[in-house]
Amino acid sequence: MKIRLMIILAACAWLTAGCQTTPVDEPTTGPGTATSGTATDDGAQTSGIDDDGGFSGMDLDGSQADGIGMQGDPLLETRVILFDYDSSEVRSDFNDVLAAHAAYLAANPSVAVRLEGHADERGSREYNIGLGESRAQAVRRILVLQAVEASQIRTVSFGEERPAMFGTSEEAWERNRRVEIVYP
Amino acid sequence: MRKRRSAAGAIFALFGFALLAAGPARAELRIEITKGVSGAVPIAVVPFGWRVDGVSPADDVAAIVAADLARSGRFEPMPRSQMLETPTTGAEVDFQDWRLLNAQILVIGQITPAGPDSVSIQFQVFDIFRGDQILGYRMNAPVERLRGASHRIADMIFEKLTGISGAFATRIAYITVDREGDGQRYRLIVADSDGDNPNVIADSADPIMSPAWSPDGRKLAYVSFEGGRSQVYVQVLRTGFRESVSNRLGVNGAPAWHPSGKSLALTLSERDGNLDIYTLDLGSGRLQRVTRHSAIDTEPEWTPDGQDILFTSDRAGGPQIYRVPASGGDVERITFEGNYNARARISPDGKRVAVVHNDRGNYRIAVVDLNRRSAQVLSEGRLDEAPSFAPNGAALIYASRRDGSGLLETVSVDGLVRGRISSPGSDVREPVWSPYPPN
Amino acid sequence: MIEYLRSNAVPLGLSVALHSVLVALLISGIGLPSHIQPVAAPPVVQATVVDQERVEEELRQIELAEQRERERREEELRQQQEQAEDVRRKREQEEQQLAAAKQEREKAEKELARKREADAEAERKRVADLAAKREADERAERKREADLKARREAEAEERKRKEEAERQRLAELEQKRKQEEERLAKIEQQRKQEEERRQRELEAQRQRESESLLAQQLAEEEKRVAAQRSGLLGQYMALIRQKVERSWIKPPSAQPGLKCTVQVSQIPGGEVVSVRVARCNGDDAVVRSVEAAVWAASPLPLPADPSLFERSLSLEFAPTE
Repeated sequence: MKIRLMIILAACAWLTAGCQTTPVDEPTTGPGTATSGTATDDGAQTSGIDDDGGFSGMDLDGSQADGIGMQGDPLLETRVILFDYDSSEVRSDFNDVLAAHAAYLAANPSVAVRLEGHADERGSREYNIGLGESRAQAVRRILVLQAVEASQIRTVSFGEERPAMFGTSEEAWERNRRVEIVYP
Repeated sequence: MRKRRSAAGAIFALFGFALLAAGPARAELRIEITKGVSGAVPIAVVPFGWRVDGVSPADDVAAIVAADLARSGRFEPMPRSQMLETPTTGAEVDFQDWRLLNAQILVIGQITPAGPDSVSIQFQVFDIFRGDQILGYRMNAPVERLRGASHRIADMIFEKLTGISGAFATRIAYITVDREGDGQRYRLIVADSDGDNPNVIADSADPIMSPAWSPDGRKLAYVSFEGGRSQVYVQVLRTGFRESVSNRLGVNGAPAWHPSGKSLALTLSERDGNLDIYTLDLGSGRLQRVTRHSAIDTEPEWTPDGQDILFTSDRAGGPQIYRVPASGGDVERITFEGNYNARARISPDGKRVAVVHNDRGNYRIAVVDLNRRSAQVLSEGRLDEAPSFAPNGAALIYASRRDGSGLLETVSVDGLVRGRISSPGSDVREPVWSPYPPN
Repeated sequence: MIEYLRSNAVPLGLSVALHSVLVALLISGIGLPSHIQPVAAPPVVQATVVDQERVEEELRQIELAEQRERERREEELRQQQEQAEDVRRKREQEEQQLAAAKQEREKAEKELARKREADAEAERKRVADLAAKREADERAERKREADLKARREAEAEERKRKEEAERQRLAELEQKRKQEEERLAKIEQQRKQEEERRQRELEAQRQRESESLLAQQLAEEEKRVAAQRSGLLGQYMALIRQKVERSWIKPPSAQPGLKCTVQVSQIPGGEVVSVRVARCNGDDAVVRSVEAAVWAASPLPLPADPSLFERSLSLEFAPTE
């Protein structure tokens, strides 16, 4: 009971934040927010070129929200789907994991999920953004096919910018070619 | 009789030049030189005379010039310790001495006061063999801009001696990533082309990527993931003022300036996550779709004439470079060598395209000749990426990885001259060479 | 003479006119082959004229004599007739007066008649003779003229024939001459050909002999020497080339298609004393680079055989890559 409440609170918190930051269905076009030489609400800081720089802004992005109580279900606790090189195809060994998440989300239509697509460090960065996005979309399609509402899911691709494991190795690459299932 | 003469003629023709050489009426020997070395020309850049009382030079002009020339790979500056004399005026030059030191080019100069905070820099360049002046010039500069003035001088000397415009007075923008605690710090930095004088212009805990210089060199467009999602920003360098020009749901990425500076090409995703190329008019905010394909279409790059857009697409399986008219139309594939060619950057003359190319498992920088469609691999790393042409088209800068950290490397387009700009302790990536500075 | 001419004006004029026509006919060459050269005619015509004048003169003399004789006899006859009339009248008077003396008279008359008859007869005979003579003269004259004409025609004919014959003879002569010339030319040509052939054979033989012997040995020797020299020379040139190529720092603008010719002077020892770019399609940087390449290569390598040293060099910078 306590857990359920926490989930709802967390979801509301996330939805609120989401509404504040991003129009979900109607993306804006053209010039958006303008900032000048200051740290933004999103945690970045910009400088004029003549400034000394070095000022460090504070990261206000609340991404610690792993308050969803799913302890006990190893499938649900699996939040990372791995991919082959230059592939967006969901491997069959993750079918069960995705089925568990789909069941959970379908049963909890108020719960939102964020799918973060990633790529390994090889190749060009923007192409890897595309690759991460494709991977996130591949996972999203599977969830939707299993009765999850499309409106429950958000996707984002970080390409190779946020590796799960640093280093240049097959192991690192393998771990970095992934989609992370994030319950905010 | 005639026959005998012709027989003699044949012998003469066979060994004619030998006979000529040996005979009393000698003709000069003709020797053909079919190759040269791609070495560096020995050059002596003598410390400039400093005639400003009471002020010590903040920057060593001659040292900066010498370092620039050395970095080009085409010149080999003489160590100062080897110089027998340090002339600062033409009258003090003894060419014979410099010949003995095997120098071919001599640069001398002097700096005199030109105002309260400005100086006058006069320099001369001599051909030591001929013993004549190749270049003589005087320029005024604020004292605090001596470094920039030095790069300008290096540009002038380089152009005079090689026939190629120098690019020393240009800048580079790049991204650094530093681990800070659990997280990371992403910084967008602008520095002189030699890596000196770095300035952080944007800084975030979330990824910053894909910086792009405006054609006038005054602004940078880049992608920032502040708040956990991508947006495209345009930032004015002098003031630090920036605005988000694209913050749609999904992917906002890969900004590329139209040569006019009035619009951007960029990559946006649809709701299903499919990436396509769009153009965005910066004045009106009007968005126009360029490609429409279920594959990943990204990394747009304008051709110098502003008519076409090159982009990366995996519509044929792996990523390859394609060309499409900006107004829409038939898509033409450009790269065919290898199974991975991405992130096209076109040379200033529009004749070559630098790409990230998978070379037998190594990701390297290759240059594709657009006429011949042949690719030449220029870099030597395993994970090289993000090529960017110098504005003179003579060199490329790109990111490489070594020991788990990123660094910047340069290579001349003929692959002969290599340089490295490292930023110790930082993971450096995505270098972009600025256009020529506004005059 | 004038008197004579005057008294014989008419026959003389006729004669002159007639002969003039004949002469004119001859001169104009009527009926003669047109190709007879006119220059051949004058002597003939001249001869004819001389001849004719003589004939005419004779004719004139004859005619004049006859004329005079005729006139004299007519005068005589007229006087005789008048005398006879007087006689008759006297006789009649005498007959009337002297009837008696008839016999005498008749006798006289008879005598007179006979005499008259004889005289008449003589006169008739004489007149007849005269006429006959004149006719004969005229016939002779006509015959002479005809003969003359015939002779002249014959002469003209003969001349024509002769000229024709002469022409033919000349033509034949010419043809023969030509044939002879041709024959001679042919002979000469054959002779020459023969001469040449012999010469060639001779030459070939000499050639064969010389090639197989002396010249061959000579050529071999020359070849050996030249090869040795050219080998050393090639080596020398290669040494220079290598040193200059190592010294040439090619600027980026030195692209294939570049061609720079540099005149270099060196002194014994190989030290370069002058470098001059004669032709170059490269830019300033290229020109400077090729000059510097030569200077930097100084001193240039020396040949193994000192006689191969060359003060003046021409270096051609033509990069192939």
